[in-house]
Amino acid sequence: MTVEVRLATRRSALALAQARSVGRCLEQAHGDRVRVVLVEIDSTGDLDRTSPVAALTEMGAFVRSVQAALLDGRADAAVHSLKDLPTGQPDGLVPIAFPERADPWDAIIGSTIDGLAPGALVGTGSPRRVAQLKILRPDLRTGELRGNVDTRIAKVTRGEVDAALLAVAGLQRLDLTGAISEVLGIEAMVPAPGQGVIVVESRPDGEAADVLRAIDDPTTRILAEAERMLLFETGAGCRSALGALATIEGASIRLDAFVDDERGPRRTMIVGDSSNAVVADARKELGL
Amino acid sequence: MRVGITTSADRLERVSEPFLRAGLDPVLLPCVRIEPMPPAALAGARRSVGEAAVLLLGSVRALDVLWPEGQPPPVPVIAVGGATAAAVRERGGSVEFTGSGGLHEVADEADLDGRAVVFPHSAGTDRSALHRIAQRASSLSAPVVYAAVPLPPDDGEVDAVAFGSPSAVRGWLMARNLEHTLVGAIGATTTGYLESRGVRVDCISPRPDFDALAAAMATQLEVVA
Repeated sequence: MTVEVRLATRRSALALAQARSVGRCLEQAHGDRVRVVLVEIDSTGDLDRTSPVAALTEMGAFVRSVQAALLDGRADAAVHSLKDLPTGQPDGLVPIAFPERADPWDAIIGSTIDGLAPGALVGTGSPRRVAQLKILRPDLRTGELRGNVDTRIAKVTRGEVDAALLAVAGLQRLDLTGAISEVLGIEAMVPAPGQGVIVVESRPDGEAADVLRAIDDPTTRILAEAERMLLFETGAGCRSALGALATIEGASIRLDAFVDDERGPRRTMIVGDSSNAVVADARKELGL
Repeated sequence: MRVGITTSADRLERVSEPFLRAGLDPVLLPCVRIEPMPPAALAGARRSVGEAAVLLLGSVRALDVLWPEGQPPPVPVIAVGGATAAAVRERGGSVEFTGSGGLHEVADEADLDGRAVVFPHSAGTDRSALHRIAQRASSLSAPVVYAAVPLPPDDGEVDAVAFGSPSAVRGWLMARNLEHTLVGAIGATTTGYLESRGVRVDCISPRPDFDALAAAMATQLEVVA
């Protein structure tokens, strides 16, 4: 018997690419026992391309309309970038699967960091990226950069900005890695909590949930949840200049964390025995 | 022979001395500016040091930034190099291990097993050696306490340039090139970074300090001349 799984997704090219990658994971796990149907949804974030990301009044602007499709029965599951998912979740929905993480890094397009002339203009709408860029190169100017990935690349190509900061995972999913001038590793920039992670959200029971659980990667889930724990416990959201990346370090968990607020930028790396321990130590050291 | 000295402004005079002693003509062209992290970050780092069993220090700079009044660190220190160890002792602190081969040597040879280690360091530091330290320590905390910000140098003719860090190289290359200039590097990390930017390194210091770099560059310049 074939199980049909209706995946709700935003209509942007990146969201569709993410949903298709989840579809491929399901097909690899279940073969022709699963049929994936994409349910395309308009969402607030997609429609509003003029207001800066950081100024949107509600968290999870990109996510709400997709979750609504799930709650009203138009879809069986929703596909999100974990970094866009608000820290509070609607009743009745759970993150049912975390497929294996893509690259978590940020990248610069248009120039390497070192190659930028003094005072060059770098496009990014993320307070986290701005704050860390200012540590590396305080002389650089930054400006808002809205729009989809293609639009952002075009703004660099047209010379509206000298360079732009984007997530590597998104460029990979759209087959645009040729635009990358430099990948900013952990020494340069701590990524957003959950960056590079896709989460599939659904109701916790039913046929679709059983099918979706097969594509859950426990390592990705554990590490992403450690990053999200820092986000939860500090009450931060997508408007915060908070970065967190958890990785496995031998038998331990390593958490790189960055924050910038009214007390200025702070950054640390903690290695410890458990997610709870590293998050607690990071909070203590960063004064969060 | 005129040698560009590219360290931060507060250390230019001290770094110039060995070049003068070696018979060279230092030209002061700072290419890096040190920016301590804000007080909240330094307070958090000091709190972590107080709770650790041992403090791993890779530079005098980290010591100066964390305890600007000259206090000694409150826990024993593992120093990555001799200059850092000497600075800790000068403040009355306790040094239990002094390395001479960089962070990788410390990771393998210092007594870290089962201890809580704290490593305050600069933004952008290559932390690949921390993997080994993390494996041996019971816990590792590595706060960023300062940033070395690259700074384009002023004009000023030179025959050679001495680099003490990748950040200084970044600063230099923001405004000038290194064609027809003898290039000296203080150690493997700086050499590696120069080469990654397509720069040929003529002279690598046999030890990671400016005395040795000045002597090596003087010898090299004599040969070139």
